[in-house]
Amino acid sequence: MAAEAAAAKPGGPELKSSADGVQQRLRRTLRGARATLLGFLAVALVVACWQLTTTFKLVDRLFLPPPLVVLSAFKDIITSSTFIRDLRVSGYEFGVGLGLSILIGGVLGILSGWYKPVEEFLRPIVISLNSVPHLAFIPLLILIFGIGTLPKIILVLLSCVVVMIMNTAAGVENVDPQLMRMSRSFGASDGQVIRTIVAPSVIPFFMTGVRISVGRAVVAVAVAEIFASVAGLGNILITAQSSLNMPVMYAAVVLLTLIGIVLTQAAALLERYMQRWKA
Amino acid sequence: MTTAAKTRPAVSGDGAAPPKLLVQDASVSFISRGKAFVAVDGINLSVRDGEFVVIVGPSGSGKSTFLMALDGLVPLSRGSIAVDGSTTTRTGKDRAVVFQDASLLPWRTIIENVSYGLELNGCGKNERREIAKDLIAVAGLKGFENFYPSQLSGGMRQRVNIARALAADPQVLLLDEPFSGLDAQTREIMQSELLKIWDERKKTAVFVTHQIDEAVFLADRVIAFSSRPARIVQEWTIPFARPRSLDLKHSLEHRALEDEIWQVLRREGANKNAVD
Repeated sequence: MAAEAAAAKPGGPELKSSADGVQQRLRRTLRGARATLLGFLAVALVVACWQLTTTFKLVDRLFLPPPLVVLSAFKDIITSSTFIRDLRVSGYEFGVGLGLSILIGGVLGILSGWYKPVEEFLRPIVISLNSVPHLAFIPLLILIFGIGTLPKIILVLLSCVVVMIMNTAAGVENVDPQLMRMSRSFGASDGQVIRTIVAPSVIPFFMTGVRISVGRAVVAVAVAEIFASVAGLGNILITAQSSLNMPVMYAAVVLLTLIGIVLTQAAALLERYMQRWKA
Repeated sequence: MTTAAKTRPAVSGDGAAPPKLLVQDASVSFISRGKAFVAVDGINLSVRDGEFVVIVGPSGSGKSTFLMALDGLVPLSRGSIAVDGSTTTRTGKDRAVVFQDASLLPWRTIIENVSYGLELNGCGKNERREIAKDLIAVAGLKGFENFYPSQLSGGMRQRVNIARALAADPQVLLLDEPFSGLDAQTREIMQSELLKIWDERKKTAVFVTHQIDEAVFLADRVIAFSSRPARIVQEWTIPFARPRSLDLKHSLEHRALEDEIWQVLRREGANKNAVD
């Protein structure tokens, strides 16, 4: 259709020919390779400085063991008989705490985004929970709930539920009224409007909440375990520190960092996947 | 008014088939800051099956409000609307709106957008994909089925909007200034594309615009609304044969009709200013 080409011309971003597509993909791959290389270089630089510091004994090796020693301690941790148990305990605290936060925060967020009175009722709690440094709850939670998994789960909940409420509510408030009108014009029922318009509009906001919560949950579990615990990845760290086993302590820090990176990156990937329709 | 020769009786009660769309004494009023104000006042309109009616009026007249009332999105304060002889007060499958804003769901592909109305009506997945595919082809968007709206131009998005309304197979198609957000060139192309689609489907259509040339080019009948509250001022039957091409717009007859409608609307605007 001749009109087709003409109509396609005036309005903004147009369709790329396939040759352009290939070239663009190549450019993106190259840019990705550069980012990987530079990122790797930065990490290598830190490790090299660390190595030099220990080689020239700038710091007492008791307090800062060389990288290779930490690496072998790392291997010891993940092959030890208690590692699976520690991983399971931390995973349980993380999973249950985050799951509850997503569930409770999601529901309260939808309610407070939809019904103004619910938002007004929750507002002081949301604002205070959002302002307080949530790790300050740890001593209190230990006093009340002891040193088992329960206080960790509650801490994760306190750290994440507000993030979920605020993001989900923002999502509900941002639903495009014109899209709801369009849906109504086709005779959609309340349920259909919620399923086809409201829910998909909220998902990007909700997923942002999940991504932020994952990071906060990792911190909450690790710090709470370092404070007082019987098992868990944070427990490995604090036990090693109290027995002056520095290589294991550093290895535990590295392990917690790696787990944090993997979990937040996975959440970010999921977030991007759910919004793949965005140009 | 000196229009007796040109105006047809608004309600044709002469025994023939019932009109596709029959509007009697339709009024819409709003309450704004405790004061009632009338947006649409006593509109009588009868549209026969397959007729293309265009409503023109100054911006800010209640013509879009009237169209939303026809769809059931805005309640009538008085009067009635009947489609195929049965009175309706709510939105329904028998009518579909093409909004000024393309209002596409950004998270859905083109084919999923076009089948949206069918999906709401409980049409099966395979069936609605077939129907949607057909209409995407009719709208000249073949090959774009799996694109997302953000990947299309404004004109293409508006085609999807029209295809979506047609896919639901409504009895009456309501179009609310669908091309006013497009640049002049695209608008002209879309007008002729719309007529092409319409020639193929012969849907009863009510189209609202403030562009007089657009009205004359598209319509079987043009109805001029007054400014607030909207009343019918005058109507014209457009004699041009179909199919119409864009060249028609440059003909003297077309220009003369545009001019005549323009004079009426201008007088209407002047009256309003005098009253204010």
